[in-house]
Amino acid sequence: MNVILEAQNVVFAYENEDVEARNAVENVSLSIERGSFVAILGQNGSGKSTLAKLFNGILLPLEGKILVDGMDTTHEDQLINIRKRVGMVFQNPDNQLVATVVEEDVAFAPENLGVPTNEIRLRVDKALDVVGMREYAHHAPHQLSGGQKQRVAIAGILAMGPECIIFDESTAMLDPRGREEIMETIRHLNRVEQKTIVLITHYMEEAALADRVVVIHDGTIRLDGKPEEVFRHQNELYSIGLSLPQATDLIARLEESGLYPELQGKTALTEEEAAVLLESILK
Amino acid sequence: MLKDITLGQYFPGKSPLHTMDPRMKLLLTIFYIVILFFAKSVYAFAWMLLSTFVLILCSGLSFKLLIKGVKPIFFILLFTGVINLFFTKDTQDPLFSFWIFTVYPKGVYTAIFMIVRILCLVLGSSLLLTYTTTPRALTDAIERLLSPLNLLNIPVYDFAMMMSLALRFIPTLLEDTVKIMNAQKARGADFESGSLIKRAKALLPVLIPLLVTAFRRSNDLAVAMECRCYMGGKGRTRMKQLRLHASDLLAALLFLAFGAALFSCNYIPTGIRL
Repeated sequence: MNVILEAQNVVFAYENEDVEARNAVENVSLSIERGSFVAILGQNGSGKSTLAKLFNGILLPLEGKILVDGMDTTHEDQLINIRKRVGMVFQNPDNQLVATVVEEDVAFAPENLGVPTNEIRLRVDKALDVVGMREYAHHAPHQLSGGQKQRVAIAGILAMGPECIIFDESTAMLDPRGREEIMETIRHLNRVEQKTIVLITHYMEEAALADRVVVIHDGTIRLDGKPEEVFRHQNELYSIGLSLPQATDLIARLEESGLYPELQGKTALTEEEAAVLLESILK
Repeated sequence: MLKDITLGQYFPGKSPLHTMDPRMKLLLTIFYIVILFFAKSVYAFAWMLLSTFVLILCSGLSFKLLIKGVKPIFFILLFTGVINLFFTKDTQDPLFSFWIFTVYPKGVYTAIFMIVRILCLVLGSSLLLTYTTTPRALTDAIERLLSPLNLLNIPVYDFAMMMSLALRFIPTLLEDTVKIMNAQKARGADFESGSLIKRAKALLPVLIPLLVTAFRRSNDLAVAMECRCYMGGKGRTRMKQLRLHASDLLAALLFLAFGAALFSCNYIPTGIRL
């Protein structure tokens, strides 16, 4: 079993909206492999956050099935096991922290799960170490910056011991520095801690860091593949209100201009890659 | 303006009072308050003052700080003192009288005793509880002490959770309030002038968005808590377990001794009648 999250022909619609409201998620099938780093890209209202909430049983599909490690989210007795495996970090850090002291907040999930006292301590210290917030263990959340608060929220999820973490636009409310901190942490979680990462975002630069990009529009999957493959479909991306990462865009335009035949078929995902590529053709 | 509000007035420290088990502190505070009402003689009051003084020394907090803490009740003290001074009637000869007021010696004593009692009450309870205990420890203590009520199907844990969430969100909601007020001010709202009614009305456009934000926040929070496997109090464990130490029992013994001494002080004969 190498698939951790699986959606099979999932349909979901929110209740009591306008009569003409369409389904928020329309017949989506998607499987996410254990240990992978998947970005789900989409505009506001594309259904990407709804999909995230379906993956840990906060919302239940109207049709189709969601399987987490083989467990169906509609089976209520499995719900705790599902949530233990799939943690979720949300957009607003303030609305996720429950305690007045950082370490007590991190202890919240293991306390809920009835983990023995000594082990909670170990888990909390480990989780705070992973996100680099150990020295703030006794601070109050409101004394921290946005990025720090969000890292505490991540530690709170880590202490639960999940295999997979879904980030639901977790960088959207942060300043550039905070955003960088979080992306750094996310990469560490994937590479070093071997967590499966699902990153829901509308920042192309963040999506470029993933192993796989899934583009969602109007509740359906439009594109799915490695970032460099997905970013080749420039026109399709533009038509659904998305753009390319700046670095990719630059190389694509240079390629289009025909001035540098060496660029044919090349692409760059990050600024570094673009810089290396440009250096090579300018020499 | 709003930044000055510090809830619970907790002052961090490492004194014996700070490190005492919050449950013990809560029980001893109740004991202390009850005992104070049994003081009836000059010696008992002197003993009361002395022990409160010892408590202050134990807390390691500065006198300046404590005086600041007592300031708000200054008028209550003054009022109680004056009322007792002028309106205590006695059969003894009055000290002096003018107009409709007659002051008896008993009135003077009663006034002084009342002031001392209220002072000790406020100082003692705030030293023992609010000044030296974090709000979080206090909710914990209340939860533990009330946990027998769980047997009567009263969800003590849920109430404690609500209390600690409320404490957690006070600074966040204060920030929201400041933001909304600034936004309204930027659009010409005036919160500072006009009659009381006018000012109260001006606050309405602050309260409504604040309420909406609070609801939105609580909805998000509920989802986040569910994601972290919150299932109510059942089967929950604690990272920090409250444990009674020998020092807590010692404190209890000292308080019992204080109570016993205060009772015996009542029986030492004095010339002053109360």
